[in-house]
Amino acid sequence: MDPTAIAGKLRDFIDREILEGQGGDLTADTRLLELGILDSFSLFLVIDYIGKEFGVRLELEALAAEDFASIAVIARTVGSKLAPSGPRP
Amino acid sequence: MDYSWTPEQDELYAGILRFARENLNATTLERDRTRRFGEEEWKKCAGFGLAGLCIPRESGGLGLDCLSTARALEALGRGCSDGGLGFSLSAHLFACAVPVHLHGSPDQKERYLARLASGEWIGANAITESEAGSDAFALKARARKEGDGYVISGEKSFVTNAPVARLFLVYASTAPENGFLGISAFLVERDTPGLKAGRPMETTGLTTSPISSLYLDDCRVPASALLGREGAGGSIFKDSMGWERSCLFAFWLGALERQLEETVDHAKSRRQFGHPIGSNQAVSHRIADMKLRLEAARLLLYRACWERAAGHPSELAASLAKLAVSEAFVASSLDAVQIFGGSGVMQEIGIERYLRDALPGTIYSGTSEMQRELIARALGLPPRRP
Ligand SMILES: Cc1cc2nc3c(=O)[nH]c(=O)nc-3n(C[C@H](O)[C@H](O)[C@H](O)COP(=O)(O)OP(=O)(O)OC[C@H]3O[C@@H](n4cnc5c(N)ncnc54)[C@H](O)[C@@H]3O)c2cc1C
Repeated sequence: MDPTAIAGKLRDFIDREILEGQGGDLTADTRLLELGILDSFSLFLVIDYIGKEFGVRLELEALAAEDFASIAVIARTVGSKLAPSGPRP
Repeated sequence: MDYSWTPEQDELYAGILRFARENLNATTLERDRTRRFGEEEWKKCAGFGLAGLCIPRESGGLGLDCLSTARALEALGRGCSDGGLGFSLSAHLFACAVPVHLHGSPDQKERYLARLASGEWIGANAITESEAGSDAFALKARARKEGDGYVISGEKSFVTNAPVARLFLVYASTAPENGFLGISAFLVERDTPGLKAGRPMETTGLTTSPISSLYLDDCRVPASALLGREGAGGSIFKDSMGWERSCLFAFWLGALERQLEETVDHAKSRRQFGHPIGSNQAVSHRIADMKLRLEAARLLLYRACWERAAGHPSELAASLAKLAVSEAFVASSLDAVQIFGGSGVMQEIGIERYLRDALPGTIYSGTSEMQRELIARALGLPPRRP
């Protein structure tokens, strides 16, 4: 799956589940950590979603701010970890 | 589903129960009154291996898994009447020694783990601040990189063991703009210039567990003081809370068991109107509820420990366990006081101490309200919008 498609799904998820549909301004480059959109609760919702939707398990210990700065960055991280066969059916 | 313990776990339980009953209770009442930490008792516990239950053998611990660790603490809680000692020991283990074991570099483990596991050094952890309690990750303490190390500044509140600890696991932000992922964890030794523990505070309950503020005033530490990566502090803290919420509360399961035994004995032996008070349904049903709370909380706690021992710990199980044990302890302590009547509130009898020791349990390791928040999140209920 290409990063743009991953980013689209992530954007929908964050808008729906974290911003309760109020994420009209949310773009792939919105600074998620700086703006507090990803905090200690919502970050783990996103990690959980990534596991379920893309089959990518992100280890708690390996989490780095660089990987969660924006939707575009998360999508690249997820894309790079996706098995060649793609997401879970 | 098999609920039985192995013969080794039974032996461990029996050994610790005997040790605690024989060695730890002689001065509890006096030290509770004078708010004195049991240094001698700490040393005895340490000598028995209790300061390093789940630390690997090669680092001087007993090398127990999470389930056996909890079972050991349950035995300690049943046999030891000094709740403050059990709390100090558990805070040392789960909020300091375990993070060093799980996230420490080989050098950090070499320097600290054997000292912590042997109880020679007491450990503490410092995240809470005056403006960052339940919202712990809103902490203001900062660690800025300078030369080949960091300079930490900030004020921490309610640090268990601070008056007696040799090693502090301090959480400070190295990149405030990254929020949760900008928090880092540092191992700071007591004699580091700029670090100062405040005056011991007087708590309701846990009176023998020393607690104070911690001040870090341009406290310079080497780069080697960083535990894990920069920005990994939030995850390290979350993981240590998982351990605390699962294992630490096993100590209070043991206390609940002891409290129940004492209450049953009292309800059988105390006679009023020519009958044991326990023959009144109003009393016996209270005791039945105490038993129900204990057993339900025990199942939740060991389920959380089982998940952790099996390598897939969940925040949900740990929160359920913490909430169940801490709230059971408050409710059952109120029942015990009521059943003991006047002697229930006399300090020398020891029943009101359960209630005092129970009260802080719904606050530390995350309040009951925060556990319900975590449980709600795990059920898919939406968080409040940032
Ligand atoms: C005995 C004891 C030992 C401790 N040891 C340590 C230690 O070793 N190291 C350390 O760093 N800290 C320690 N603490 C601090 C402890 O972790 C905090 O007290 C706890 O997290 C609560 O923070 P607070 O006291 O600031 O209360 P607050 O966060 O101000 O909470 C006050 C009330 O508001 C409620 N509340 C807050 N936010 C919400 C919300 N979002 N939803 C619903 N309700 C909410 C709380 O549940 C609580 O009822 C200890 C505390 C105690 C009592």
